Amino acid sequence: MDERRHRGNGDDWFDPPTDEAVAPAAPAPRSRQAATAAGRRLVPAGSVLVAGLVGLGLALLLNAAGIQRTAKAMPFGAQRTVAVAAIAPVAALSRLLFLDRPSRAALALLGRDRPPEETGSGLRDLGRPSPASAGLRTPTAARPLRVWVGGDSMAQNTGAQVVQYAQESGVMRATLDYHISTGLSRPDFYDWPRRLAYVARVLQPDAAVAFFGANDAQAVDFNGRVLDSGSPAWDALYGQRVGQAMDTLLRGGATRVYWVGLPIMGSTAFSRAVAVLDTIYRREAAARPGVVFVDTWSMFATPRGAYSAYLRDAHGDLQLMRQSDGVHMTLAGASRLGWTIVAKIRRDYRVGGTVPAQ
Amino acid sequence: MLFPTITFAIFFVAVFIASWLLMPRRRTWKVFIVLAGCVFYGWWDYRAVALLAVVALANFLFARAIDRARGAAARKAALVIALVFDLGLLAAFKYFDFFVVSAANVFHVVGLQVSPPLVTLALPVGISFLIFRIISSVVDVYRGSLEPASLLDVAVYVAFFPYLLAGPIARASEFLPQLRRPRDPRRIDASRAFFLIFAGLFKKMLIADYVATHLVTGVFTTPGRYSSLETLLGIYGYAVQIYCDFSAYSDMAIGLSLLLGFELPDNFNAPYTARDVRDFWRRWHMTLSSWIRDYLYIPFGGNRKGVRRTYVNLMAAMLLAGLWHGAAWTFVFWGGLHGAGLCYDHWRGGRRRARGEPALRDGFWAVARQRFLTFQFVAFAWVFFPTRSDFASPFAVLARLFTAWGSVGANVTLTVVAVIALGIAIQYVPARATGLAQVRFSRLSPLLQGVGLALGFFVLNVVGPQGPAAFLYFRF
Repeated sequence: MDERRHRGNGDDWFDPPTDEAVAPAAPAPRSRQAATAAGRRLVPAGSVLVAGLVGLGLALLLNAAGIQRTAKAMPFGAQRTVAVAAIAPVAALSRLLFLDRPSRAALALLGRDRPPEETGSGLRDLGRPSPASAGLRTPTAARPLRVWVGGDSMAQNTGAQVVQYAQESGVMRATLDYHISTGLSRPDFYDWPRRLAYVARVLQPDAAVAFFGANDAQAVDFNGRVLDSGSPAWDALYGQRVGQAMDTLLRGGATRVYWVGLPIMGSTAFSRAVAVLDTIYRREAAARPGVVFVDTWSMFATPRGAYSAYLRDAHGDLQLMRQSDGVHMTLAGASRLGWTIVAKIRRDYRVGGTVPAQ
Repeated sequence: MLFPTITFAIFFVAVFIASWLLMPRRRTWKVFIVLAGCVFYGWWDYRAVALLAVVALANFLFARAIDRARGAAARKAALVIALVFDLGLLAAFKYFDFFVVSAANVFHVVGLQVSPPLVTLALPVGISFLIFRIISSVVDVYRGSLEPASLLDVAVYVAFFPYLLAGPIARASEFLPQLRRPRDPRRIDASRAFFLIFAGLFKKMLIADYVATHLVTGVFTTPGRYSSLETLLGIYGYAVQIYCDFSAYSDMAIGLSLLLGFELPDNFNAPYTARDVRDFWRRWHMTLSSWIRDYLYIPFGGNRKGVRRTYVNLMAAMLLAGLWHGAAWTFVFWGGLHGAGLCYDHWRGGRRRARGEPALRDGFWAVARQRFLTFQFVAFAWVFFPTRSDFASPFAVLARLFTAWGSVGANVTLTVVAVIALGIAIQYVPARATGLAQVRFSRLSPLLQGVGLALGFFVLNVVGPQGPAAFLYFRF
């Protein structure tokens, strides 16, 4: 796909015939000479600009609806306001010229026109739901515990480890349902209430593990009013959404919902915001008998309570637990948390056997 | 700022217009392009711009000091100070915690528990590329193959945004002369640039991100959930993903530079068509491999000090190349595997040449076998790449190849197999075919070119994933 052109001395890589002196790298052949030799027409900057603007402009009109959705999903603030205002007339023009039709038709053809929250794409088949049971039934290989694990990007690595440890038990079936950059603050970006209703209706898991919050400390829109993160009104609204999410999963048949709290973060400011979210999760979980709050804060802090990307593992070795963003887990961190969650599930549902080593 | 975003498209159109308008005023243009680089690099975190400023200023002074030093010892001392400074920056951001923690774990093995001081600095994106680029400039000044540049030229070289985040590692000796030559606004190689940009978008959005989402990430994070066949496909899938992801960035960087009138060195040349490991390194990340050759392998002694020393030099160069990719022993191990592969090729080629035969056997089937085996070696060596921090995970992936042949697995779909095959097949597209397409495209009117571009964007938007994923090589 690319034009094959080596540096001047590419053929002698690590095996130079003589390397007594290091010659400077040969200057790359000039593009214009190469282009002329290849027969390509070189064009003035104005023509490039016309081609580029026509291309981008037409692409903007053809994809205006999608771009408008993306603009609206941006965090509240000046950037979003400008983006939404800028794309609105483009989207209107696109509809006026019927240029929104090709995109709609193509998406329908590819089956991508349904709301993503209403599709089972990527979900593992958990088998048929068990008859409702009053308490926490002990799963067996014939009637395994069906576990749904979901959330935002925090659930990606950790959820994968939960699924793996659950599967290793031999009496659990688990599926992972994470959606990057989403959260409970912005249903206009990804409608988690709708997704959870779908999960409750279609999958009807016996147990659920939810791990949200990495993107939730942001302003929310409530009846046209923007509520700033951390304000009392925001706290009440976010708490209500968390509670509704828990209720939806419980009503869907989950006998336990494990709500995973957020760990201490690399940034002090973000840690403060996350501590507020954890308080809300803890409060809403305490108000519902079927919900367990999994406290991860101290699990990923040093003995002095500070953040560290490296923490000691079960053998006493220092392991890199957090990614360089100071937010997400490495595999070692995810393994520690996933193991803790599955150990709780095993204990609650009286799953026999040895708890797998971390 | 990510390339495949609307924000970047707006940024680039503005830079393109201003850049060509300001081009006649060279000094103003340089100031402008430095500022554009700062906006681009500081988009996520404005503090990162300070790193660019420090690197540019310090290395401008080092190069001058080397150039003005009297006597070989003084020149060498100035060079050593420059290298200590540049590598020290890299070590502080990227390697300090890794080495300290590794030492603490060694102490733990012998029964001593120490709590080392950790700095845990946020890793600036693309710092390894930045440091290798700037080292090439001071070393070339030391070697006398490059004149020291003005502070403004060094700043342009450091902050030129197309290659800032993930290369190619354009050397100062390749880039700075282009600053001194006039760039003609009437003769832009736009068709090649547009093709490269689209090739990059296509590889990134339709191949790399697809295989990552639908198979690869799962196989490498939870190998226990996947069948042996899925695991095998996941390993090939990762090989395709890393190629399509990294070469996509390079293609786009080269294409964008062309639109601004600059030529960057090519970085990839169909690496999975390589016939042995040496051939692979002539085709994969070519700007890094030639950097390693010229600034590590040859200064180590290259092949001038006997056969054994050649092998030692090859291994040392590749172990360091592994470490360059990331602060983890898995990367060092990966470098060691490639070092061993190079040593083997060197040994085998030497024996064949001693018998009067070519280093590699020719003929259709021989070449096909060599390509197949080299791809297997490269793909399986990549297993140590994505997990980064520990050895348990890659070995769990490899073990899974032998322990779960009971079922095919739900993730082995026709689309996944086709996309992986496509990722390999595109490397066999003859250069003449793409060249011909570029010629034809270049002869269209700007209006028709624009319509073609719009249709390309439309297809990417409809078929591609929602929202761009970060490029893999940003981590390095």
